[in-house]
Amino acid sequence: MKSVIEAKELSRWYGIVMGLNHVSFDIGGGLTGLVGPNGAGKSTLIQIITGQIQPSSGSLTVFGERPWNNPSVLRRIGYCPESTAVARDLRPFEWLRGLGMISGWSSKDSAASAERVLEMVRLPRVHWNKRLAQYSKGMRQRVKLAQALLHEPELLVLDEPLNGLDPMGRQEMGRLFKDLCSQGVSIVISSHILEELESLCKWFLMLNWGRVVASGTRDAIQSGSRRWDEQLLVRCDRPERLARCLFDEELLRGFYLEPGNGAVSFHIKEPEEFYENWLNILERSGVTVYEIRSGTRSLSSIFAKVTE
Amino acid sequence: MNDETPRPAMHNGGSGMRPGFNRLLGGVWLMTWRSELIPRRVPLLILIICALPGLVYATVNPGDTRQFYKWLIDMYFLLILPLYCLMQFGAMIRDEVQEGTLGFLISRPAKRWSIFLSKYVCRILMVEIIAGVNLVLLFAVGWLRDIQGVIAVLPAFLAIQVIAVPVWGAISSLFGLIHKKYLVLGIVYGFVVEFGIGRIPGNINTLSLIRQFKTILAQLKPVREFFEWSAEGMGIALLVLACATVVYLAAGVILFVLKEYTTSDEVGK
Repeated sequence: MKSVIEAKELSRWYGIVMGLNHVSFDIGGGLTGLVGPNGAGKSTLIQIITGQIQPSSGSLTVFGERPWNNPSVLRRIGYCPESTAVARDLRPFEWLRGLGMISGWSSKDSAASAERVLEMVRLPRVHWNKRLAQYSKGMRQRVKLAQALLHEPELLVLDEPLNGLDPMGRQEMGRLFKDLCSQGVSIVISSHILEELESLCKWFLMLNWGRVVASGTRDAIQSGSRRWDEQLLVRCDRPERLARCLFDEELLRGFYLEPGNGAVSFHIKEPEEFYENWLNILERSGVTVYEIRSGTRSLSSIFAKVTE
Repeated sequence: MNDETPRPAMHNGGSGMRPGFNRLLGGVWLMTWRSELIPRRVPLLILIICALPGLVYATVNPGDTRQFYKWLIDMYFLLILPLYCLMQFGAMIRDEVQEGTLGFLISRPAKRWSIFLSKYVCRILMVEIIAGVNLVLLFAVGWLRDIQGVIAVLPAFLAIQVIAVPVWGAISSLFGLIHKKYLVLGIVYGFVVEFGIGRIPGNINTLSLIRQFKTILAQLKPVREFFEWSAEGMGIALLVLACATVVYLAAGVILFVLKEYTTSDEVGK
């Protein structure tokens, strides 16, 4: 995988507060999810990638060059910030036209480009004549995305792009990101909505306390976490009995009975030992099992594990 | 728009992007005037333009030339115009920082110095237009109040205003970059440098910009009649103003290029 973004021993301090702490990673093409709790360093990283702030030490390159005050790199990057701030007094079309001209389009091409991106983000034409101050959060989010697409970037950096969008809007944006990706655009998305990020991205970069705690595909991250306790969700006719049997064999750290639906969530002590004995215990217990689900397959649970 | 609507392709062959200062200036100008002339702001703009001429009309007696020029120079040229520039140019970048929209500009494929300069130039144009209308209205009031020879000196006053706006703008934009309380900074500067140092005898008062404007205004006959300002050193006054504009502007550009204005979520934690 050819690197689009490459960080080497990258650190960033804000006075005595550390935003990023000696992180090194590569981000290639395709859709990459940037995951981390508040204060993990995601926004700092995004601001360095988009050339808004400089590293305190180490280096970060995008397409092989440093992005700070570098128009040739910024020409290839589209950025959608997290904040809902937009030029409130302007209409979306005139704002995008202005930003397009700043990016280097002629007045005519800028107007055409603004129209094209507003259609791409599916902002209905009836709203084009309203000022941005009158827009809902979801509509602003679409306009923000449109401005990121304005100069046809090769890398899109999106900070919480799904915030404020309704479920339909999220689906539409998901499809847009996949479309763009299929056209060769690399996308880095930071989001708190891990389920949606999981459905969109193949690659993930997980940050916590300014450090990279895991990176790679979801499966690769999970396989790297085999040593961790696993979680198993079982729905059966007698969950208490099954829990008792497993507990007596000292295979569990704990369990949680979900009231009403016959489900029990097991926190496994030693996964290898557990799965060696699991079928025998199940048979001995005599319970009828309706559903078995791994609780550690989701991005949320992997993320919870790596940031523990 | 439903899902079946074909989505425009990302790359439509539009390779006509040629970043340059002219296009950048065009884009910034478009956004500047469009956001300035929104319906919500128009009443305030009219009030700003008409308030002083209205006040002058109400207070200046017909034919009272001295009173008219006191208003025009003491109140308008040496107080209201610098304050208006402070508000307009101080907010030029600071408003973008406060509203969180600066990121949209500095992440564009343009050098930071060119973004700052284009914003400065567009703001000059906007302020010159508004202040120009204001000045013309003031002179119209003078004409209505039978002030002798008032129309004849209008071009000279307009020319002085054309010089004044860039220099007040340069220093004000620097204040806006330095601190969010740029108004306080500007007022403190005004008291210390313009009204303080500017009145100290000797050469040190050259630091005062108002002192230079007084020299330039003193070239006009009606001004010499009512103000005891020396008309000597016109060339030096123009040179000082030009140097001040360049120095303050250069300081602003350097600060804008080097300073990181975006805040991060991590900062407060």
